[in-house]
Parts: sequence; C-alpha cells; structure tokens
Amino acid sequence: MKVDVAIIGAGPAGLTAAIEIMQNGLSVAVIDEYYRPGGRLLGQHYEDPNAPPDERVWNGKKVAEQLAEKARALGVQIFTGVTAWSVSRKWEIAITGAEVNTVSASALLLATGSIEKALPIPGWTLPGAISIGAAQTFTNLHHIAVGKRVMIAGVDPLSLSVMIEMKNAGIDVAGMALPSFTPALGYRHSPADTTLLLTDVAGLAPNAFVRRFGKFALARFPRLIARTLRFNFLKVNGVPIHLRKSVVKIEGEGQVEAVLLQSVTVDGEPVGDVERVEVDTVCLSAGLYPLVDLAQTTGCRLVDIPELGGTVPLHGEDMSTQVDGLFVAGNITGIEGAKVAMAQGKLSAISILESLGTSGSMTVDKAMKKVEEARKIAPLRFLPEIDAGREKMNTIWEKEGIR
Amino acid sequence: MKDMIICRCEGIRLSDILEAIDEGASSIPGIKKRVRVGMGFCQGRVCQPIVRDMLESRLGKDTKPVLQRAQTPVRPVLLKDMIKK
Amino acid sequence: MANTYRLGHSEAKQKTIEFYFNHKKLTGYEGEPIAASLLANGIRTIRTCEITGENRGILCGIGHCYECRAEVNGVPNVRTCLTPNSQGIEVFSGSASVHEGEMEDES
Repeated sequence: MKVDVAIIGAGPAGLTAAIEIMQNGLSVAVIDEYYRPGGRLLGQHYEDPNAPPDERVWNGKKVAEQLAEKARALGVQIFTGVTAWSVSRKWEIAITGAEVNTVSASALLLATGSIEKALPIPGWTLPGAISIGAAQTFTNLHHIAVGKRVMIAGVDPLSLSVMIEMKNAGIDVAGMALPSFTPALGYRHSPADTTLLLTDVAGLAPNAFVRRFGKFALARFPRLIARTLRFNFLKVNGVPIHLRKSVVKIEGEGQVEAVLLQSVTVDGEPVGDVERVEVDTVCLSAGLYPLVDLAQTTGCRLVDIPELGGTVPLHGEDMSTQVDGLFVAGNITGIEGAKVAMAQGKLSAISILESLGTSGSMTVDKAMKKVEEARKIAPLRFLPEIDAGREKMNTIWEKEGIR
Repeated sequence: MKDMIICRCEGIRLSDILEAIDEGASSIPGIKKRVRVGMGFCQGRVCQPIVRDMLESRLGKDTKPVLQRAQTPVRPVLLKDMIKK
Repeated sequence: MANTYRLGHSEAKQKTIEFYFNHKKLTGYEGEPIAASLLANGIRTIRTCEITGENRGILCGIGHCYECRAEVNGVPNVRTCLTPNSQGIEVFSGSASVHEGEMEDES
C-alpha cells in the first residue's frame, strides 16, 4: 500500500495529525496495535475545572471516537490491531495483522506514545498486581472492576486520578501508599518527594489537597507538609492516602491476597511495624516513559532528558528530526497530556505538509504557539519540570540538531 | 527482596543483576549478555528502566549507562509474516 | 451471566458470546479484549511462566509487556489484552510447545 504519509500510533497526536494532513490534500495511513483507535485517550475520564464550561468533563473515549470518525470520513485509512514491526528508510513500514504487509510513504510520523515504568515490589509478578494504566483502561473503557478490594502503590497525579475514577465506578479502594524504598533499585519515593510531585494535582479536582494546603503551600513546603502528614491524616474521596507508609511486599498463594505496609520516615526510610492489609488487587504506579524503539531503528539520534520522562528522539520545535522525512509528536517527545499531544499532532502535520511542498491550515509558527497555549492550560502535569525539559531539547537541537 | 524477579520474561532476579554489576557490567547490554535480562518477549520494555535505575544507583548518577538498542523486528513476529514481506 | 466483575454503567448494549478458556465455557462481550472477558469472569491467572513456573496475568493491559499472552485458536503467544473476543474462540494457557507436550502425555 502506498500513501503520502504514514503515521504510527492512533492516539490523540496521530489522529489529529492524520486529519490535518488529509484535509490538506495528501493521503494518510495510521497504524495502531490496539484493537480500536484512541491510544491513551480511551481510558481518560476526569474533570478539568480550568477548561471552558462545555469541555469541563473530559471524556477521552468520546474524544477518541470523534477523532477517529472524522479521520475515517476524510478517507484516512486506520489500521487497528496491526503491529508495525520494522521501518526502513524512505519509508517502508512492515506490518502484521492486516491484509497488506507493507505501507510505503514519503513521510513518517512516529506518534508511538509512552509506556508505563515498572514498579518492582516483592510479589509484583502475582496475578492481581497490575499497572495503574491497566486499571484505568479496565475501569473506564471495558467497565470491568480490576478487583474486589484494591491497594494502589505509588502516589502521583495519574494514580490519584485513577483512584478517583475507580471510586466513582464503585470499586472498593483500600488505600494508596508509597512504593517500598529499595536502595538496590536506586529508587527514592520519599514522602517529601511525593508531596512535591502532587503539587499540580491540587488543580485537578476539588479534593483534600486544595482545601488543606493549596498549590502554593505544597510547592513551598513539601518536607514540612510530609512531616505534618500523620498516618491516615489525609483522605481523598474517602480513600486513605498513606504518604508515610509504603507497600513493602505483595503476598498470596498463586495470586494477590494481601499487601504489607510499613511506615517510613520523611526521607523514605522504613521504620516501625508492618501491617497486613487484605486486598485482591494491587495497582502499581511509577510514571510513564516515551516509547522510542521504532525511532531508534531509523537511526534517529536519541537524547536523555529526565525532565521529559527519559530518552526521546532529538527533534526541533517544529517536530522534525535529523532523519529526512521523519517526524515525531505526542508522548514520544515527552510525557504530557492529551491536549498537548493533539496540538503537537497538528503542528507535526503542518511541518510534514510543508516538507512535501504544500501547506496546512495555519503556519508552523502559529501551530507552535498553539502547543505552548495547550501546555499552559494543561489540567495536570505529569512531570513538574516539563518546561525546562522542552527548553533543553530546543537548546540541543539548535546546537547540534539542525541539518 | 534479593530473589525478587526484575525481568519477568526471562525470570531474572534482583540478585542476578546485582551479581552481574559486581562482575563489572556497567551498561545494560553488558548485563544483558551476562544474565539475559531484556531478551524475552517484551524486549526490555518492562525491565530496562529498572535495570537502568539500578546501574545509576550503583555507578553514580553522573554515569549515563549505555542503553539497550532496539532491533528490528521491534515486536515478536511470526516467521511466515516476515517472509511474506 | 456470571460476570460478577462487570461495572454497572456499560453504555451500549453489547452482544454476549460464548468462548472457552482451558476447555471451560465462559461468556463475554463480543469485541472486547479476551483479557477483559477473562477478568469479568474473575480469572486472573492467564498462563504460567515457562521459566519460573509462577502464575502470570495482566500487567500493562495495552500490549507492551506480553504477560497476558495465550494460545488463541491454535495461534501461540497472542496478547489477550489486544485481541477482541468472539463467538466460539478457544483460549489456552501456556505456549504451544507446552500444550503439545500435554497432548503427548495423554497419548
């Protein structure tokens, strides 16, 4: 199959890009491994108090359906349940799971998104120990309870919002606690670090964080607050958030039956008694990192920028890379929300259109500004230093990237 | 704790990886060659970030360990599908 | 149906289908991932690890980790979290080689 532009990843970035390209006269194929288009949008369901009134409830599944419907109506070929397992230059994408085995294109957009970081805790291989992203997908997309009683290990913006979603769906969440402190793993999820990470959640929902501390106080005095937080002091939607306890072990014969919680100091050192909590499910949350494997096989240079969530393809502010005809958009460039991904998708599409000798619905400069605007009003930040990360990338690109 | 599995695909434990580092492995491919970490179905997507954290904590934050290089095919593919291409 | 883990508010009316997991007949919704149908039936262990012998089930839920793989209609190592369910599908734990070995023992 031959198209002008191939896009890998049918999430918010990929679908938005496909629509923009198609609307400006070029042909597009989008490839995605999941059985339906939407990517991480599919699991998202939350309230955004800063959004315009008619967009206050963000129903990601509905957004995904609308984007996919619009793209298909324009004539975009969306391959779902199809794996892109190799890309070679100029561009040949080998796929499996479809009638055709290759898609060839003049330009390639990698919108492969992100993948969850694993959270190893003794017992984490037991059935019933699942990632927080899986919990979100099963709750909001498949409408299936991940268990009868759930403990969440890892307190961060994503796990808090999934906890609220599970509670709203009627699932018994026994609590949230920090992951265990394990020097061998180089991990450090201390109460002080965690409180800092939660600063932005204050803006997400009317919850105890806002009432008790507010954004300012959280940012300013994380250690102080962590010290102030006594056991079970904080409850969000009726669920105890144990900022001074960690999950040190997951137990069970053949599947999850309980977790062991132990108190920790403000710096995360375990102290004191171990308490056993009976649950049949543990959700593990350690954040996301960009999925770059296909980018790597194209010879695209990768740079490690922890502020963006890990190793990302070297790219310009216009979403182009050093590899001719290769563009990136969405979480592959750094971990941010769906609205930023959509703005990046549009921007990448306009850059692609210009690289192929035509133009999009706005200028590249205008589309870059739109990305900035989306970033400014984002309801939550997954990574607190994202702006610094973007700046780092721009500096490296200007020094070493531009072809 | 030490017998906790880190690489779920290949059943590689924390102690195996710590031993590999003690033997002198200072990169992810180095550990991979010694103990098969990241060589299973998921190709290190699950365990590589953990192993990387372990290396950084052992070797110091300023040492950037060499990461595993993704190879084609990036996902397990049936041979018949590869031949069809 | 015995899908005790279904949450109430499934918006669209979905078609119920029958499928098999290790020869046991179960019900699920057409088009949802096989892993979702299994979890709706309270099934958490999808396979046992070939190396350690431990039980394994869903981890990432979106096709990255391969922990939920099973044999589906004779094809080994299918990711059940990505594969839509349909009427009459036969799902088996474990890899094809293990499955063949079991059959040899029986003969």
